[in-house]
Amino acid sequence: MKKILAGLSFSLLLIFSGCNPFAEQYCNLTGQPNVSYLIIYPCVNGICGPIPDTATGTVGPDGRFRVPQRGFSCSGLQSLARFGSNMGLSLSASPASVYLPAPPTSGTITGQSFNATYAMPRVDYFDSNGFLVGSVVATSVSSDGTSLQANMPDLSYVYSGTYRVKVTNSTYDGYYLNIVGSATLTGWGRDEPDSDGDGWPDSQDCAPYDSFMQTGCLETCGGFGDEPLTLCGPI
Amino acid sequence: MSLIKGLPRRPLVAITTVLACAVLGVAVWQAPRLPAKASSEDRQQLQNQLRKGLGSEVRFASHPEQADEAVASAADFIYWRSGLKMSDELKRKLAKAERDVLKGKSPYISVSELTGDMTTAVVDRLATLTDKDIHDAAEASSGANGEIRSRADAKWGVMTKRSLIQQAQAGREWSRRGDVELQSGLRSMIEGEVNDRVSTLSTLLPEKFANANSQGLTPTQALLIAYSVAADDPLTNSRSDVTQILRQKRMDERQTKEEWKAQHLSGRPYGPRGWLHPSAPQLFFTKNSVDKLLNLSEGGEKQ
Repeated sequence: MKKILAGLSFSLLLIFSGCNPFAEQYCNLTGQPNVSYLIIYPCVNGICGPIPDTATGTVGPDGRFRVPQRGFSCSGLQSLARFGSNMGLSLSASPASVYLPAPPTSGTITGQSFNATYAMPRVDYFDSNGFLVGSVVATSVSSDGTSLQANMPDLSYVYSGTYRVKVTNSTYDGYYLNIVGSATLTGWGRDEPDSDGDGWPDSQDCAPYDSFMQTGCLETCGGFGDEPLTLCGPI
Repeated sequence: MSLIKGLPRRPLVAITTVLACAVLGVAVWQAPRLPAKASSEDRQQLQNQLRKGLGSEVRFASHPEQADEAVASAADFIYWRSGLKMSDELKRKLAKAERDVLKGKSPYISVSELTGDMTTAVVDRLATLTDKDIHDAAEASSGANGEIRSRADAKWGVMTKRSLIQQAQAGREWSRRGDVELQSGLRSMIEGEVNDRVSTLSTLLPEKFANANSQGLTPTQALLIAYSVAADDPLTNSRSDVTQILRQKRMDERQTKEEWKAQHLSGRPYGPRGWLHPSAPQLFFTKNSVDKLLNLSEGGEKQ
């Protein structure tokens, strides 16, 4: 009976996600707001493997971040945490505007504090929704650290819009933790298709060939008053 | 893990926890809860977030003629954040109930009354979970290969959907026994969750909830608190803030669109497959549950 009860508890917890006391435990740690953090777990739940697991991310604006506990105490993880820096500089990209059907092969980013001492800085390209569309490492950095050259990533599948170009320096052991800053870059010449002409680009339209349906592509019964519960949001 | 260790000794407590979590998702409101010794900075930050979220996006009624607008804004607020949609009929009934309270024709809903109504609704709902409810929830939790990861530590491993459904169905039968201790345990847990929210809101959003403990809640306020409990939604942050948080999260994780799509998330922060706190509040918010919760079936008048 006891075994059944434990099993039932576990199964119910799994089915109705979002509330699971058996779920992986997390620790809320602190650090400087908006800097990168890195935790290298030597072992996970007591099992030590040849390739250590890691947790990386950015400390929140409130100076807090959450990482999986993996069998460690939270104070232990706090002491294991390494932090980078975030200069938050406003950089400039050249060219600042790119014709997407025929982009240049490389570009220049100017600013300061680009550092190639341990490895070439990494250059990440994000679209306006925050999705990573490409990542390259610089091919050269000026001796005074005020400019870098980098090849353009593959832009053959991206659409017109504003992109954010973020530069991050490497640490001595190869982790990209030191954020220098970001620049903006405009891509033009390739508008996203809207097959049914309803104003929603195909990638955001749950029914791209039905102009009368823009959201609500995935519905289950439920919600207030037994009306369909729409799971497809406009974000 | 103390709960796991306690299972053999205290199965009812454990099962009660599970059931409350299952239908109401009551264990997760951690971030926004106001700690007893919260620093003034924490309080200020949470207050700002609440004001930008619930405080700005729901236009609470102080006069009967504002009831329709209050209900419409609350419905919109809940829908945008979780995908839970109110029917026109429910909006109409809720607006009438709101008007009646503001006119003095019906009493405000006390916190204790809300707790009792929620407990009754949860117990009733647990007993009526259908196989389809269970299948839908299992489907939503399944990975691409049909397996369900426990999200627990490594010793729990991966379960098949079939095995999970069988165990969940057995759990439903267990809940149908109508044990008094189960109801009492659920009430205690729900009470704690409701009180946490009322306390936080009356302290940090006094312009809207100052009289929640003394006078009681309007039906719209009560529904928002029930939703907050069910969906683990702290009611904080404006839409643009939430969108910015999601954008920043993707950038921090260097996530591609393909990686995002592979997660099969809803795009909404809360509710089914929500990217911030996934939960299944639709299991609780059926027409019957909401009618019972707010006593709307008799025209919105509390007895």
